[in-house]
Amino acid sequence: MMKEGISTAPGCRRQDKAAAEWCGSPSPQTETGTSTTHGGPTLEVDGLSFSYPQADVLRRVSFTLRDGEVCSVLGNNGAGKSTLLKCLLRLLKPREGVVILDGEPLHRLRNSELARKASYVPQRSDGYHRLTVFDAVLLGRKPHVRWGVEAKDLQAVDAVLHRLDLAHLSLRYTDELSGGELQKVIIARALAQEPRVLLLDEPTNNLDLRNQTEVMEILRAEADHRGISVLVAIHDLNLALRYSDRFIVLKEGSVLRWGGPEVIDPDTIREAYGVEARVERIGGRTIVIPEGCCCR
Amino acid sequence: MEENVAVSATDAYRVYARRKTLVITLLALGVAGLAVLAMGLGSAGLSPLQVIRAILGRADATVSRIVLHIRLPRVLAALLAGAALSLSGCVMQNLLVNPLASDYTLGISQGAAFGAAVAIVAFGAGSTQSTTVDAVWINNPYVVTLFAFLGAILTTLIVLGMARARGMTPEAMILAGIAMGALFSAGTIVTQYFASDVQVASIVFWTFGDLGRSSWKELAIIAGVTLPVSAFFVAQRWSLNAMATGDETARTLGVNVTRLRLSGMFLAALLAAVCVAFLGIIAFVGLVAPHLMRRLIGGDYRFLVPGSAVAGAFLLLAADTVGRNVVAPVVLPVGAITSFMGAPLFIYLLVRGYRR
Repeated sequence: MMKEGISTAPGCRRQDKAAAEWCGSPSPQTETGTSTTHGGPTLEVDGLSFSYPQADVLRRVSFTLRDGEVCSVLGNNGAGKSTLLKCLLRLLKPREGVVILDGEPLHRLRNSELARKASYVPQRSDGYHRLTVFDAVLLGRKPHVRWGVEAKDLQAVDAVLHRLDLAHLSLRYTDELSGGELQKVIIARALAQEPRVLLLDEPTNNLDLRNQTEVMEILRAEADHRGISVLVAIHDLNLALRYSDRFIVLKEGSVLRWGGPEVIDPDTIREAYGVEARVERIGGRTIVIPEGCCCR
Repeated sequence: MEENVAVSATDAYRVYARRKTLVITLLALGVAGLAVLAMGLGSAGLSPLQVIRAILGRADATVSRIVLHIRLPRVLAALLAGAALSLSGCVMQNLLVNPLASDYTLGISQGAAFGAAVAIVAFGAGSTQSTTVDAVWINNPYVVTLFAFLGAILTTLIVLGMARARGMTPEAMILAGIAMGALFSAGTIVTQYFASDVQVASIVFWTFGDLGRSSWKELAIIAGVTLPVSAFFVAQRWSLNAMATGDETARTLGVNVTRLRLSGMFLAALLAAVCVAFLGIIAFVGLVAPHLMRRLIGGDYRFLVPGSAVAGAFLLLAADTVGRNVVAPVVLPVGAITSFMGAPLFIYLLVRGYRR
């Protein structure tokens, strides 16, 4: 099976530079202080391709995600971020490639097994019609419940609600919540599934600064304290830099760069987004400052 | 401190869940009370005590006969059909993510009535339906039911297909349903034109629902369909809840969405079909009762599935009791009464604004 240091990166446009890093040491240290050595791989993706009848969307994407890692999936709109997540959740059927989730091939997992290993926060969520917050989060226990809800399920929901500071909302209807509250409820639901890998599709979109920070802090804490691997598609480079260990930069369905925070440099940003940017260190943090669009 | 709060969130939820159970239990008791009351009402007025005695087999022959052979089958028909139609609507609204979905609004009932009309004309099934002694009696209910079911499934498939082609918006689906309803109503009228007098009478009976002609054998068939299908929906209550999160999230929760949608719609159509086959079209119960329960106990299908069944039973029994007594001795068909409920419901949905 595919391992960390796979050296061929078909479809990678910058093989010279990228390949060196791909062969390099695993999980770099980040400025968020997560110097913990991460565990074994929870998600191994090798040569994943997906196409719609008209167009290729993903081209031979390969990467590895380890226990307790937060990995940001970057790239402009249409680069294939959502498609990648959906392939990993089996919502879309890849054309080729191998995905090993928690030691088992993705295509061999039963629906309920997959639901216990991976959970999903979709890009857009409306309130769950006439369901209370507690009920909505309890839904995350579905893959674990055989017939009736048991005390341990209620406790699990309770614990998640408290970790995410949602307990005071537990009997409110989800369709009456603010955007930030709803997003946290949906993350809580995904966490109540007790997954090995949590996949989120642009979870900070349409949230205010406070809620963006809160959501990312939740993800970081879950990865650090519970060893969950987090794969998050995100647009905000600075949020990504601050809270992630690893980065996958997609361009037109191919992996442009994959690695630690060092891969976020002006060259990558120019190539991935078509934007001139400076990457500076301010107050011990790496900050991306966009300058303007590249001339065509 | 943290511990205290932790206990209280679960406890508060338990109280909340218990309150819903209480609402359903009270409603079920209300249904039982109403049933006893309804069996007492009529040209031969009986007290609730007499009714209970008759059911327990301790009343005199006349009272027993009235209760067990005339009124009890009718009340049971109301309870079973009300529960079946309400459950059918409740599940359709969930599976199609459409608050307007029901057997009647999707044209499924009309399709079933058309199927029944065809069976009546082609096989002479209906002419013997209402009279209890006849050689072909045993076979015919099944033929009519089968055809009603085929009509219902055909309509379901067409509506789902048309709605898929145009995107699954509530409007598209209801328009498709109206189109099918109109088509099958027309088909039923044409069928009537070629039918004999007796057959026309039978067909007309199908086109507006009436609980009066249900006998024990028909009840057994309705119950034989309704009970296992209800059990299936109860077993699927978690999956139905998951459907409320949208197709993709439901799939990541381990639900086989396509299979659930197909099997659920098939069984929901079967529930509506078996009711229409024996009792005729009973409009709006499948729409009003689930919406009532959603207002009362929320959208959790662990409670909504049994709750809708009880509410439907209550609603149809109440409607039939009103129909039997409001202009007595004339008995209004229950379909006419329930049709009146449609107007306020649609106005309510219009004012409140529906969501997908």
